[in-house]
Amino acid sequence: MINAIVAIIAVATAGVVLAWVVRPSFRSYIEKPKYTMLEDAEILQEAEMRHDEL
Amino acid sequence: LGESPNDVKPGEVLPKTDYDLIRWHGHAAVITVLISTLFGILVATKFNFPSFMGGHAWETWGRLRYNHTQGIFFGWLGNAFIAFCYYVVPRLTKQPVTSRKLGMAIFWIWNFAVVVPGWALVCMGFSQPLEWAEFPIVVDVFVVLALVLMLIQFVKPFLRVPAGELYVSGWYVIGGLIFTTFAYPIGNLVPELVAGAKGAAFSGLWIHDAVGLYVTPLAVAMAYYVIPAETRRPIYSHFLSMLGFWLLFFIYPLNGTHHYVYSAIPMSAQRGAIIASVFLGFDVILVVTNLLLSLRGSSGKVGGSVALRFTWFGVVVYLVVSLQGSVQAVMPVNRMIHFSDWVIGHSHLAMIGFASFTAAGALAHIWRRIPGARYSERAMNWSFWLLTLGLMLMVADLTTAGLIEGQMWVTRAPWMDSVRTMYPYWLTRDVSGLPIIAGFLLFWVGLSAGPRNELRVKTQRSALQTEVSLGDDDPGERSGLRREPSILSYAYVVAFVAGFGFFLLSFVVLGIIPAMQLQAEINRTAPHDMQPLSASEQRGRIIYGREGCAYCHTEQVRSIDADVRRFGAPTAAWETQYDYPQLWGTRRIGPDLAREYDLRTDDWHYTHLFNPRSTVPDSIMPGFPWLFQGSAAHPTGEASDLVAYVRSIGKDRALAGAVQIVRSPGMEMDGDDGSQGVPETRPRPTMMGLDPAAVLLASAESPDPAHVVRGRTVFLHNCSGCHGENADGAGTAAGSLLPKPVNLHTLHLSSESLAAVLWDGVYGTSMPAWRELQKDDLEDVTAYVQSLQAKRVGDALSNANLVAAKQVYAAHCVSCHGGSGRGDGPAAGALRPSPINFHVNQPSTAYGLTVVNLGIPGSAMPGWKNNLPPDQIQSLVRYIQMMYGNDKEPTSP
Repeated sequence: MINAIVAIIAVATAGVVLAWVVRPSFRSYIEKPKYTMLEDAEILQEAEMRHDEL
Repeated sequence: LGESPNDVKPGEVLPKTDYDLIRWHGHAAVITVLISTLFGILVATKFNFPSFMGGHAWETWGRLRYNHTQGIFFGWLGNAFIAFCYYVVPRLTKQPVTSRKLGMAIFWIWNFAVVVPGWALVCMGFSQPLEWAEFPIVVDVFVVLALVLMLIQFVKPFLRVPAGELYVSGWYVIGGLIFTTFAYPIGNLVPELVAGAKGAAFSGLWIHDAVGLYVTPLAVAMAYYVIPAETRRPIYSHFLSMLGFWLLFFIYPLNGTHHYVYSAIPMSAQRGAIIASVFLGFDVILVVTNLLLSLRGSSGKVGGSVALRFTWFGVVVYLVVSLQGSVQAVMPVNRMIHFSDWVIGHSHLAMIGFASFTAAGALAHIWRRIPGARYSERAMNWSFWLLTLGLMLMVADLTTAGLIEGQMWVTRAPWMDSVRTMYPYWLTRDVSGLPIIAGFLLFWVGLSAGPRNELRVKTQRSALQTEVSLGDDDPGERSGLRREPSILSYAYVVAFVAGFGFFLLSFVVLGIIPAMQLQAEINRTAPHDMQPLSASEQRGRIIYGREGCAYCHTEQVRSIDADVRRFGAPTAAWETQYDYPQLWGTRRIGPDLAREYDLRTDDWHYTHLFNPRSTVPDSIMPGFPWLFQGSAAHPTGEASDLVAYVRSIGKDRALAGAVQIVRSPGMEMDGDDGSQGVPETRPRPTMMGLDPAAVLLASAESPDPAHVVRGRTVFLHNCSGCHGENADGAGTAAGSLLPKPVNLHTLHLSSESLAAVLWDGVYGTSMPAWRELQKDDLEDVTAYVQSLQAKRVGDALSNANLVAAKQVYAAHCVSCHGGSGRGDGPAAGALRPSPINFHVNQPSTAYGLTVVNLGIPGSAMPGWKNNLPPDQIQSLVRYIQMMYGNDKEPTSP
């Protein structure tokens, strides 16, 4: 059981890292939220400001 | 960027943040952390001043200890996490939370159906003696209800967010809430339904899941949100953050059993948990590296923003405490530091240094953005430094203390030596709580005072645009991929399936499978005639749990030399098969009680419970006077039940004798030779006051004065509670003990007699065994005691008186004391305490006369005042005195 868990973790991690290395599209896909997070926060704050000004 | 942050898509309704609920939960968090920290300081104070606030049940150590940790867990961190969710969920999902009314319901349930009643019920004596699950089950119902409502409130907005668009903080929020909703009822209820070692396997799961899958995900979610929001720069790598997220949720649930290393839980589960713990350390390195790299180029802002500084500090401590956790799970380290103050330092580092600092950073970040809210940066700054000062002092102190404790437990030093050594460390820990509570108080000032927030979004937005546009990240990353979402691409589906799957995996691997192995082990090894606890013992067990006894006294002897040598045979799985819930414990302040069966008398226990320092002068155990009617001699039914339970712990193991245990696969212990018999450390009832196994003490018939002085010191620390500071048998405990402690000025004991008494105690009296004491200490005590009453010589009896005395002795004393006066008469075997052996114990004339005239209450020795004339009693006493040191029958000169 322990060996299976260790193997699963190792294989899964290696597989994901490999995908990240060989597929630029995957990199773009996986990194996108870190930009949209800031943008969305800004949009919401902006909207709240406008609402408060009204 | 492709599109401006100002662009709002047609038809898109922007959510509004419910700042009222954020404020409510924010203030509730700070109020409850102040109360919880006060509980902690009171608990810490009781270590050095155990009688402080000790007169009432509700303010006893155990109940305050329960409320301290549960208050931090639910009140402080719970409210802070909920406040954070109200702020972050609309920003991550572009959806409002489900309902304001639902939010109000969650607020009221969380604070007024969980925290406040939980505290009140614990103070009233309704609790559950399980780590991180101390609130009673009735409160658990509301916790689960609140968690379900939180899923509806916070997870529902994620329903329409594709997985590829969800920021890592959202993943942690979803994962943490889903996992906790499953794990909480399991961790709280299963140990009540599954007994002993099997229940402990599930307890271990929850102990770790509470910190690892509730506190950690939400704190990491905070860190991942606050750092980019404060620096106005995206995190270093979202890929690494997601890798860290999945590894954490996969590995963390498998850690649980590392709280029971060297226990009766199958070794395969223990090793699995240890390996998972080491893996977890690597995962945290990944997460923290990513978070700290997210500060690249913005490190200067850490000094300028208190919110960022709190978060940064929390992240650094997250790395430290996680690596510490990985190391202390490893067996060679675990055997040394487990149960010690090291672990308490570790948990404070985790809950204050990591979780509380991160939560404080998030609250500070949010508060500055609440329109119209007051916020004082100055107060926050002071708060940060005070909390840092208190935390560093506390952790350094407890870590050092734990190392010393662990080392002392490995040696043969008496248990009480480890307690005495800890006094200055516990005092320092108590003092370190003061800057911490002051820090939290100033944190509240920071949220309540200072200038009101202004609308300053425009300035911040321009900064965002500048920094993002000047970023050195690959612009191609930002475009992302446009895909048609399938059901599996929605974050909530992925998180739910994975969260539930990981929960199920840990439940099976560390709960179900070990429980099945344990059941097979129990079936194979349990005595067929093992009886459940009696009704009285069962009631006593509930009181034992209610008063927090299991939080100082473990009930498990681990399979390591230090434990076995000190306490006895390792705890086998079958021993606790009727324990609902298990009371193994995770901390030792007092000694382990797994082998307490029949070691001490009821009197001793009553006296000890009423005022522990009356029997153990240097004890820090709280007294339980509310279990008595005014004195130790008048126990209530609850005291009787509690003593009945304590005296029963380990009964079946003791009665089973030395049995060979053939362990089933997965149950093997390191260094286990298969012989799990009753240990040599267990005192045995002795006959005639002599035990051939007793340690040989150097003869102290003419004691060295230096030994006498040292012996008095040892005596004062260990014996004065019963025998009195002057060794006159008038200690504070004496009033409630029968037979009374001996006035050592009235009895001369030989070295061999003292050796047997100190080695085995005196069965049938409250005199315990003192095998823990070093041989030097035993010899010094012997020297001191022998210096109090010299051997009497001279004053031989005339021939006529000698003959008369012999006749009286033969007529009235032989049946118990034996024909030769060695305490081996035909009736002696049935008597407890055993009749005295006059060849090694010589009473003074006055004491002899008193005993022969009045008898010894609490023993089989009757008074002869009404049956024998005074001159015969006088001769009899002298005759008895003449036996001392003589192998032959006394003769006239």
